[in-house]
Amino acid sequence: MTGDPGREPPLVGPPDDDVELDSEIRFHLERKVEALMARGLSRQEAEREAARRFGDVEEVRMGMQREARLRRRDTKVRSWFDARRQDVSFAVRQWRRNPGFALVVVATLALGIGANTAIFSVVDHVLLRPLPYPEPQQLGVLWSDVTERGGPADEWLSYANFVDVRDGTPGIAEGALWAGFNPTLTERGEATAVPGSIVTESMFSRVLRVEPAMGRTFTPDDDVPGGPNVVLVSHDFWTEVLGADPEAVGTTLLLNDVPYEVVGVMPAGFRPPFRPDARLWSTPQLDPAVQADGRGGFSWRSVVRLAPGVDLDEARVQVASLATRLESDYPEANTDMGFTLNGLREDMVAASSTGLWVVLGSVVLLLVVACVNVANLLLARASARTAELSVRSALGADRRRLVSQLVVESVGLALVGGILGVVAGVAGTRALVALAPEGTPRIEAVTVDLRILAVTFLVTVGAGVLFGLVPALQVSGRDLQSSLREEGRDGMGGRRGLRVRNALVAAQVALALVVLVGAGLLTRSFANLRTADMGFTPEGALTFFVNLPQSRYPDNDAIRPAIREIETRLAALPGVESVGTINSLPLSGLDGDSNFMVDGRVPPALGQEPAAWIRRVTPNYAEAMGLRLVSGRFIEERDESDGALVALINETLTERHFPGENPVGQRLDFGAPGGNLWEIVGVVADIRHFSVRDDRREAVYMAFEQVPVRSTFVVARAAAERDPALLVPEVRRAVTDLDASLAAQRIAPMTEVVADALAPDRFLTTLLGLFAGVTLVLAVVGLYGVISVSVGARLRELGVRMALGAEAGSIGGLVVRRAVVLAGVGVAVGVGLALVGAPVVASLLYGVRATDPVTFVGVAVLLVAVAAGAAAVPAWRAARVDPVRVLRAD
Amino acid sequence: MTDSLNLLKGTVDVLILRALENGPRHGYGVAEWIEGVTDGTLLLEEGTLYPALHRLQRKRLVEGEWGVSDNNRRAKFYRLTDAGRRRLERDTADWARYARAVGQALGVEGRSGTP
Repeated sequence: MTGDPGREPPLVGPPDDDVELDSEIRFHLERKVEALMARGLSRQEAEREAARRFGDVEEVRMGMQREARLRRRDTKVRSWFDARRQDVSFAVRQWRRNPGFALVVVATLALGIGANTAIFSVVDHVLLRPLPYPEPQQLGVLWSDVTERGGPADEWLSYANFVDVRDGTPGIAEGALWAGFNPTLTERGEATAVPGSIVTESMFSRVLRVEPAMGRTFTPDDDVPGGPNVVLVSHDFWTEVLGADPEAVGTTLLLNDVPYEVVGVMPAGFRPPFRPDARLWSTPQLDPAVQADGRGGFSWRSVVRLAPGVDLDEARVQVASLATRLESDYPEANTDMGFTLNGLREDMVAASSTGLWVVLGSVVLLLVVACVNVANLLLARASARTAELSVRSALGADRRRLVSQLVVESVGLALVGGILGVVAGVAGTRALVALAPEGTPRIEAVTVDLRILAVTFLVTVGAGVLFGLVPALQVSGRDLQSSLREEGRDGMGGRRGLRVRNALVAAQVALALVVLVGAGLLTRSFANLRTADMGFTPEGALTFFVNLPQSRYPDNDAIRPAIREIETRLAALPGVESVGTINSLPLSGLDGDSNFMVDGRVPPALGQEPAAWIRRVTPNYAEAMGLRLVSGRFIEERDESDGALVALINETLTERHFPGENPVGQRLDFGAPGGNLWEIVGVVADIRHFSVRDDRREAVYMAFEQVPVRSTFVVARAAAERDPALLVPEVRRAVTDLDASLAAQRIAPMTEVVADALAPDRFLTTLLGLFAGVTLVLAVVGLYGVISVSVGARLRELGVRMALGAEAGSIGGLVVRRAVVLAGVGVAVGVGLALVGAPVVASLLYGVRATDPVTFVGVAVLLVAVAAGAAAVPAWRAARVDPVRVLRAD
Repeated sequence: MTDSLNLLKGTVDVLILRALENGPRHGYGVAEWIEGVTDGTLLLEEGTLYPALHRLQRKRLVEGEWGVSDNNRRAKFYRLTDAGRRRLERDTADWARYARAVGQALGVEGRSGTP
């Protein structure tokens, strides 16, 4: 291939025109006549003979013309391919000559596409996809709405209320309840805890409508009081614990020392919308008569299926009218109680959605910044080459060839970037899934979406053509003479082009500011969360859950000494300082509440009783967990099972119910049988129990000895400077040594429990931090590109200034000032955008407002400083301009 | 001339390629060469050479260039390309096999011509 692609490659010569065909024929005939005459024929005879031997001249000419036509066509096709091949090799040469440019463009595209593919894949799976059940849009979740009592709109349900709402609402066809169920599997060697749920019988068969892989799901007969103990297991459980036994259905599992019959195995990959990690399910076998008494309780969560053709709004209206009826029918339990009906998918993703939308938003900004960057780089480059292209054009290169070269160059870059972007997208999706906090709904099902990949890939190629075309048309559509004369000062390298590029860079800075502010706010918020006072001391504490099976610990008299013994044995371990027990560990997601009244006060109206979260603790719990006593005393050894009932209350309960009073000595009525009252002996600090964010809920601590439960957490505090994680094996052994049917479940340092509670915030902060970093880099590249090109374009002007006595320093300053002004404009626009977007992130923030001036100012200063930095190299180059050389170069 | 043979269809191409094997010729030269080497056995309508030459040119088996003939007149010379040379070899072999096979079938040649 020749070096100049502007020239047609020499083929086999141009197809002949008619004149040439004729002269070819004439030559032949003349030679023939001469030859024949040489043999003695007269001219006349020779001409006749020559014509006879030649045949029909007209026919010959037509044959030749036909071939010439075909050849012209072939030549066109062939030369098109040759030209493209040349364009490609020309493009490759260009990239080699300027690898920095190609690298930046490719990396920019790869980052943008990769990040987008990964994020869209995750968001699509977690937020947008329909659930994998028949008619998923008919699935919903019913909650108690106790907002009128100052509670949440998504409180759990009582069995009686749920059944009444389900059966009394025509729009709800089916509904089932579920609750946690984590039995200890006591056979097959060690005792292990198995995560699971109990579900009422219709959950799988009629609500979710899923088929088992083997056996059957539950039937109404499985869910009656005193019915058979039955269990459904997950596919994982079947393969891992039951050894994929094809005869597993019908066998027996010992759960909490009670035999359960395995009735079915769920299909592989089945993850129920509630508790996706569940490995087995059983039935609650509730007695409706007993449950009717507990109408005011909140123990269950639900899934409902709407009747065909009924939508959520319609069903909500029906539910609301039923709620009113229930209020009047059961004033005692249902006053000020409504019901919330949510779509199942929306309900599942509600907690994750704001964060994911923010991530999605910022990743779109990132892609825009990336595209702007590529556009800008290609524009800058085209202008840098204006002179070269103009010269080549003037020397006769075909303009279409010049355009196609530029297009091939940018499409090539876009394709390479796109392919790398696909790779980055696959890797990024995997990384995101690995990084995502536990409990992100449906995260386990996330895979790279081929449609998304295809779309992003097409977008890149489109971008390549577009970005390649604009500069190409700019170059080719111009008056060549003037561009030659003015060396591109009017083209994209000139004032108009610079204005476009300046605007693009300012836009880039503005978008980068938005992402950076978001990341900054989240980072500050996360730092606040991490250092927030939890009300206890997680460092040094090791926690685990233990369940005392009913078969071996039938009553409270068996439970009390067992817990005491566990505490004693653990406290005796070397390196353990103190051991306490609490039935609902902070941040474990567990708690139970109860209504109460302050003794001696006027009883509140029905349904207006205040409620408090009840926690049962042993005397050493305060020390083991580092719970702060505010006043009075903590639970002590003397608070024995037969002694006076005692309780501590937290600061929130004190403020709300004993404002300006000393609560110590007052008594609380929890409606216990026999009229028992609890005497308040002290006040403890509020702790973060439900969330690491502010948690102002009334809580009461009772003596474990006086109100024992068979499932509880134990907290062991390691001696100072000792890593509690190192105690794990000894603690496990100590528990199993006491009774082989016991297992220390969910064993983890408390710092890990806190970290898990922070995981969603950490995930979001990390992601946004990453995006912000990438966006910042892109913005810097964009700034650098534009500034350095504009310096290049103004070299002569700068040279003149130098020649007229301007100092190098002031020339450099001029360049830096330009960059700072550009960034400043971008920052101003960006601040406006960020303020508009601020309310979106507000709900994610802790201890920092969405308009936090520190973050805004910090990010603005950072961007301006970075802009100045990006201008430093071009400024240095400008300051070194040798006026003589620049001026002579003309 | 009366015992001349009409040229079989498709054989013009290979004859032209053969004519150009030892160097460029113009169309008239090709005709001369064919007449010479076959002692006028093959009856060739000389005009048919030209569409054939142009067809070979389109197929890139020969390339053509205007030059000056030995008696100082403008003439178009044809030269074998690499692809043309390869085609000539192949066609020659094919032709030999074909001729042998037909000869064998017609009993002109004995069974000596086993490949």
